[in-house]
Amino acid sequence: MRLPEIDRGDTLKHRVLIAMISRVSGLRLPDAARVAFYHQDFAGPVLGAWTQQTMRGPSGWSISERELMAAAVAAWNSCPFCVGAHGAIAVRGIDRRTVNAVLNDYQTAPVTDRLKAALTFNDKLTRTPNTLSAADAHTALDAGLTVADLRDAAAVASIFNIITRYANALGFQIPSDDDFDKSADMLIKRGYA
Amino acid sequence: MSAVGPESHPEHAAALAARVADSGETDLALRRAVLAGSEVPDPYRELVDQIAENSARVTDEQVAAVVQATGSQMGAFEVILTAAIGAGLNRWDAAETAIGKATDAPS
Repeated sequence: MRLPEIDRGDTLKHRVLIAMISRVSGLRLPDAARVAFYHQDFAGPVLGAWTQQTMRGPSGWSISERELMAAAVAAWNSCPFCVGAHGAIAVRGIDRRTVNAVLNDYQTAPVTDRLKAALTFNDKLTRTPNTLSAADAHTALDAGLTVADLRDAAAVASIFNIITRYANALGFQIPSDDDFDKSADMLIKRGYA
Repeated sequence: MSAVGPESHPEHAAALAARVADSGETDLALRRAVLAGSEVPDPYRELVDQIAENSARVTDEQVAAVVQATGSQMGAFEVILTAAIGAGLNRWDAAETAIGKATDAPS
């Protein structure tokens, strides 16, 4: 973590919370959670509310599919923390080999045409947003996505284009696979807000 | 989830942009420029451009220079978060435009 204040907490209350959660959960509280506790007068809570609704609210996509979309954005943006954190949740509902195949090359992965179309749209949205056009949206809709499905997928991509960037810029510490797995339990139970 | 209403994606996106403008300790003009992707002076420019283009290559030195320029870690945090939010909201706008054009007119 490049900003030590985030690591240790900015108030006494947050320092106590960080220590308590780490002790109870049996793992070092991940840096993503430390950021959520930091400088809460700024944009974090508003981003958290959008993330919670997008990742856990009603949608045509399952929670695992949304988490897989998040992990895919993280892979495209070279964010190992987010690949690990969100891949660990995706595998709770999708076969691990399929998750790995998507993260390696979603075009050849054994997923539905509908999910592949969402990933194709999000890939372009992530890497070359200025070239995204109505034709790209048409292609996704023709593959069976509703407009709501496509907007929900685009919201996942937009949010994780934010989270992956600050995770990388702040230098998030990468937990072990076991700790990613324990953190997945926490994110499934408690969500993002 | 995508229905127009208080919980819609566009409303969340607008609330996020408003929060960046309405809160924070760093200079408001700086935050607005970072959010919009407009030009900012060094050392902000180097870090903000790096976050937009390839955040995996941000360096300790780039972050340390912005801590020094803002005078606090909290200030640097605001700059980093705002640069990331700018990149994300730019993508949300691109998606909304593409989807809007696709659904407004037949292909």
